[in-house]
Amino acid sequence: MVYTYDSILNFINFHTDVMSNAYYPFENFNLPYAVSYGLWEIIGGAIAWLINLIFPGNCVSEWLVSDGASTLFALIIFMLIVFIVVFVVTLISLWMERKFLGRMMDRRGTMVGMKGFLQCVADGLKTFMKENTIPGKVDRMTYMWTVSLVIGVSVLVCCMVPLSGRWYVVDYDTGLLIIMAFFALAPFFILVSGWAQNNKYSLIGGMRAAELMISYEVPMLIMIATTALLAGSFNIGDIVYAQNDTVWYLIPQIIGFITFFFCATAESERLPFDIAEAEAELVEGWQTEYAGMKWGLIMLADYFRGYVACAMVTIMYLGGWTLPFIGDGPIPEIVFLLKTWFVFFLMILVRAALARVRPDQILNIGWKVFMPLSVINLAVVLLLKVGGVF
Amino acid sequence: MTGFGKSEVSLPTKKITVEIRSLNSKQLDLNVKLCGARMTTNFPRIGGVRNDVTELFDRDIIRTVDRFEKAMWDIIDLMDESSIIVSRMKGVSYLTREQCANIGMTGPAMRGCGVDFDIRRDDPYDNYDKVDFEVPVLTEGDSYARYMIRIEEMFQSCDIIRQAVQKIRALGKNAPYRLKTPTKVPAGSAFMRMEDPRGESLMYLVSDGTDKPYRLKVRSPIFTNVSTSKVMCQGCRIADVPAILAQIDMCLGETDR
Repeated sequence: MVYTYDSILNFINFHTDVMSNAYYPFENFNLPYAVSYGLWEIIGGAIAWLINLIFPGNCVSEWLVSDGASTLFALIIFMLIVFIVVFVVTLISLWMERKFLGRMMDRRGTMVGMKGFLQCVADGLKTFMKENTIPGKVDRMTYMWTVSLVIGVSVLVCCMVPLSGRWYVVDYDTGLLIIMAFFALAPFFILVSGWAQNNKYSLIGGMRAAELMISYEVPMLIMIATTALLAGSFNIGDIVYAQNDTVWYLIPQIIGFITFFFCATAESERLPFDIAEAEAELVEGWQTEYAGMKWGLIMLADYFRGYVACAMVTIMYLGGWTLPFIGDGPIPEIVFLLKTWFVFFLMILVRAALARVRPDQILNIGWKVFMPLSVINLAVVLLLKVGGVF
Repeated sequence: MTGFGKSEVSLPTKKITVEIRSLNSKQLDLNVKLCGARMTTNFPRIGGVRNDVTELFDRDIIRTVDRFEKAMWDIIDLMDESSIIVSRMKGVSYLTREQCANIGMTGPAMRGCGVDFDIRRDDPYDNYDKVDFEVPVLTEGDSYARYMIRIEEMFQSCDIIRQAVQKIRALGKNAPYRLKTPTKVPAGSAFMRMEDPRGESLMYLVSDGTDKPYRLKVRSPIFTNVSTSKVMCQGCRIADVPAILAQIDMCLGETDR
């Protein structure tokens, strides 16, 4: 009997149309999913062929390249791709902050390794390799769970922000609201984790963080409602393309842009609003008792939230991933990221120039200045809508 | 001169700290030219100083002082225009004159509360009666007044330094830098008080006729100023504490001499 081996091309089908799969999970073309589907076809096909060499004609090989299993594994690789991209983008914003903050302070910032980028990676590695100490008298379960929840929710929000019309995770009709809802979960966990650490300074830090974020969410929600009013829907894609059709919402909502920018700075707990983590006053605030990997992840979660805040500003006021007269350029993801990094650069400028505001003054500003401004912004937009301009 | 360039308000403004540190480094370079070390100079000796000034040292001093004054105006503008910094200091931790005198506070913090006393003017030592300077006093008594006093004193120090350099130039090239002092002092005691940048510091020496002192007590001004922090912080928020304690400028190593 002559035994013929199956060629690898039996298992790797180079589908040109990923959407022809019966189980395709999205409505429109999704770029990272297409990339991950292609990757799984190659990897899964190779594994299936290898198994087929040992056990010819088995069903596992067939299952690995079937429609359903391909979708499953492609979704897993898709999650990895989205997370890695978001992680690299956040690392780049971290690097940007260190360099620009350094230059504004008349020093050079990080210099080692590709103009200083690899130093951020090295710092992360160093933090992760430190000893994971847990103080004796903390409330263990709360201590460990709340920090995981803070980090997890921040990463979740970050991955849910779409980078362009073809780079999205879910295309909700209430996209902007969902992002704001997850963004607003963090103060609850910060308060509980500050309490769990059995340390009066952490408790004060946690309470300050919670009170700050709660006060600044009210103007933010009013402004999100204003933008949705102007665009006609909460769907992020609709908002961006509505701005492409008319004008960037920066122009009718200039008050809203400035207010939202400062509310976003406050929500990401950056100077001048970083009372939760005030180094000179409370030693690291609510993060005092976290060491090693937990603290490293909390630091990263701060930068994830900063990125989400900048992304929201870009989507709502700066036209998202579209260019002024061209519309969707060739690589809208890069356009979106450049705009987000520009807004982050403005946040770094604000951080370098101003001192930390006292907590009661922060609450004063939040309730007595920003909320009336957001209502004025809403009134302006209502007039424009009723007058038929938009 | 050693009060130069130390940040007297420790509010978290990293940029200002960096600018002030860079001013300090110019003065430390002067120290290096004079005696070889930046901070631990070991320069004074009994009867004078360790060595004569180097060539053109007076020119270097005048240059540093000019540069310092110009940079100080920049920093003052930066701090005063920032309403965040000013609003964190104005109206915070108000002390009356009587309270100040009762708790024993000395130095710029005392002069910010309205007590008009400066040892250099009222009980002069060390040729302070031969230079002209003003003693700034403010009556508001809050954190902002104490901060303004320190700024004013920096400018007065610059004036004193310029006059001192002129007088040293007038002495001529061969003036002695150290006088001969006896190694054995007669038995007795001596008491001396000085105006430190932080307040009034005391020295008390008891000798028994040999060349080794029987007792020497040094009391730094921080020793009493630290205990005044209890009264100063009463009625204020936790977030005000850095703004208040920085006015005392405590260095805890100096407390426990």
